[in-house]
Amino acid sequence: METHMQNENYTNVNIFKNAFEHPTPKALDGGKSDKTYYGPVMEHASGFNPYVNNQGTTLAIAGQDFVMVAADTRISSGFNILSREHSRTTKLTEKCVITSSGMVADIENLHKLLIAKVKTYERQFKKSPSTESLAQLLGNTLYSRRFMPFYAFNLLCGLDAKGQGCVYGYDAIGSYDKLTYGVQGSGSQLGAPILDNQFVGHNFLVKQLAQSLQETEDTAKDIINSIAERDIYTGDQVELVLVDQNGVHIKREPIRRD
Amino acid sequence: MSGTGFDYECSSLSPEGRIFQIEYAEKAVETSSTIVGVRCKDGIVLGTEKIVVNKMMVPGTDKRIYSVHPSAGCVVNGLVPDGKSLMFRAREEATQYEKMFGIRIPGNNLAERLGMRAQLNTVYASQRPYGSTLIMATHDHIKGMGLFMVEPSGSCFEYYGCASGRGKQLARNEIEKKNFREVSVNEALPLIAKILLKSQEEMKEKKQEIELSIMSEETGYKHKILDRAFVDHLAAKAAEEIENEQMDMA
Amino acid sequence: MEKIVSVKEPTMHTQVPVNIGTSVFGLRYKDGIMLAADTAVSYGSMKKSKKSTRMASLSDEAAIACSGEMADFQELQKILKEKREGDEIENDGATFLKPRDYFNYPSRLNYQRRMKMDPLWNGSIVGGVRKDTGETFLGMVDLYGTKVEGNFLITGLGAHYCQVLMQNAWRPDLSEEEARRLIEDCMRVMFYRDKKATDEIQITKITQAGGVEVEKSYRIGSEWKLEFFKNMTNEFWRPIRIYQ
Repeated sequence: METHMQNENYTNVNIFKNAFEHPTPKALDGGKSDKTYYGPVMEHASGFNPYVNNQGTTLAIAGQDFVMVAADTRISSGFNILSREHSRTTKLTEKCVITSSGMVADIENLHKLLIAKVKTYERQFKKSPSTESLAQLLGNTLYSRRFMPFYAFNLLCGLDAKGQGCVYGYDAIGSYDKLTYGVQGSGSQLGAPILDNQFVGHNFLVKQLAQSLQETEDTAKDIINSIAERDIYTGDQVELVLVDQNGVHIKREPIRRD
Repeated sequence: MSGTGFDYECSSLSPEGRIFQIEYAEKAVETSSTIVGVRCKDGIVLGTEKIVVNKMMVPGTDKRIYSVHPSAGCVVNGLVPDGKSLMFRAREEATQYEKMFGIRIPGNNLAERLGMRAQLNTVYASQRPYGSTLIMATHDHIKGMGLFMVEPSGSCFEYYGCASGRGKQLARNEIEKKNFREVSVNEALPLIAKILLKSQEEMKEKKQEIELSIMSEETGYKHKILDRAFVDHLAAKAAEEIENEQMDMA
Repeated sequence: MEKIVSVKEPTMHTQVPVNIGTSVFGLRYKDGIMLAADTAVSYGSMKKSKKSTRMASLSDEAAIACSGEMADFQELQKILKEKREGDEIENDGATFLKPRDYFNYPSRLNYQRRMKMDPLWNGSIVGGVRKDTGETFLGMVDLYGTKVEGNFLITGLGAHYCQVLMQNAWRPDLSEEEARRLIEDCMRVMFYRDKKATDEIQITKITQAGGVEVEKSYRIGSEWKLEFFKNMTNEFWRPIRIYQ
């Protein structure tokens, strides 16, 4: 064990000694006794990691009668850009969209699953599910995979029963909360404080939703742009999705591509 | 044919050594459409005639010729759904063989397996034999082309030309008369269309249709079901010829 | 001596790829799609085979090229062949499987296998040109089931070395010769720098007129008589020594 690195190193002083030496196997009782265990060390067998983070940022801001979603369109694998025009946002109903960041394969699967569930609902009840219902559905769907979670961080954005904009924010295993704005993904740490500064948060006593669509859109765009300045995983294009009384409107604008 | 108690299921032989259920199944085949398979110089032709029973039925939906895999095709008669079930079995066998051994299933093996499957249905009291005959054309890299017929009893042989169904006698005679082994597939097609139409003479007042498929050098030994327009054209021509012949005789 | 406790081995799945094909390339050009791969299959750092095919036609309008575990590629080929023949033998005059389907299917299959923790360890590029509309398709799918579409796609190490080369040289109106030269240049870079690559490459062209043409492999050649390489002797080499 001690000579582990010696032959291959040019130096006798092994500065990595501690890092490379295997810890002595302990007994299977969790180290309660001093017994030494000589059997094979039980480890998770697979060298395959089923998760990969494709990064990217998405944010949503609820307004008085609309929701503005802004997301970048870059997906990465390590330092490699896989695509510069990947859409993170999927329309679920006329009043509701989902936008996610995380692992693209999982996200696509999740979005497809939700679309299928929405269709089933529509056939069964002859109406589209409300945004509130979809919020609960998404929570349940994510929690159903509690032990092999969807690597997806979602924002469910839509108009509620009163026609007001609302944003639901989730973690990967289905815990969720109603917000007035939210940001997910690799640039969330950069985006959150700007949003906090520009809009009235959900934890304020007097809740005030954004009034002006144009202002909200410009700010959303600015925030994604700002994130793209500092986050290497965010960039290429900003995809703006507006949900209002007239349905879902999508447009794209180029931003920095480096 | 009376079974006197020996015909309720196929698990017992009669004192004369017959299994009546099989014979009843053969009866179902004998009263149904004629199907033929003919081996020609450069390929194989499969064909069937059928009566359009219901005027409201959408033409072309009553299919009796199927592909088993790209270079094997079959035609069935009798209880068509039974035949179809046997065909699906053939597809499964072909896929399974190919997955296991990495090559296309040789025709004789496939036919043999189908025969065994059909035979299995003649053994148990809880089952009935397939009420249909299946003629199959195959091509593989080992044996080349092959034409096989699987009957309700499970018997399965290779043929140069075979027929089954109500016009089987007439069709067989015609096939024997013409030496198809020296005729190319394209030349054989109108002749076979004629044989098929002739074999349903007594049903003439009803609307008749034929279906044909080929597998030849020209198609790269791929089973190809001929399109309806072409077959209808062949049939019309054949019908005209038959009429002329009858006029001559009269 | 303590009693040795036996621990039951867990179910074993593919943990690492064994016979590996390195990067594959795919690009759109004027007439359709071009897929390229070299012909080496490595076993660790040994070249197990220097003349294998790592691409296959899927139908008369789609083809696939694969990097990663070759056994998994062959398995995928079998599955897709079964799909195609199933479609073919229906004899209903229609081909339902379009190039995009030959892309979506492996993506779903790879995702399913990822969920089983038993992945098909491949990065694949699927290209196709529809015969009826002439619409071209080029997509890449990885072992997680991630789908990416684009005008030029590279898997594996090639993505690090040749992405920029491609980006600078690619135009939608590349002629066949230009596309081929671009791919050869990229492949040459790979041969110089990727120890698992060879200078023998294979190209598959997919065009509306010609369908899928899987070409014979050929050598692209390389140039080593450069001054730098000729003079590169031990004096350029400095071992890193600490405390000496």
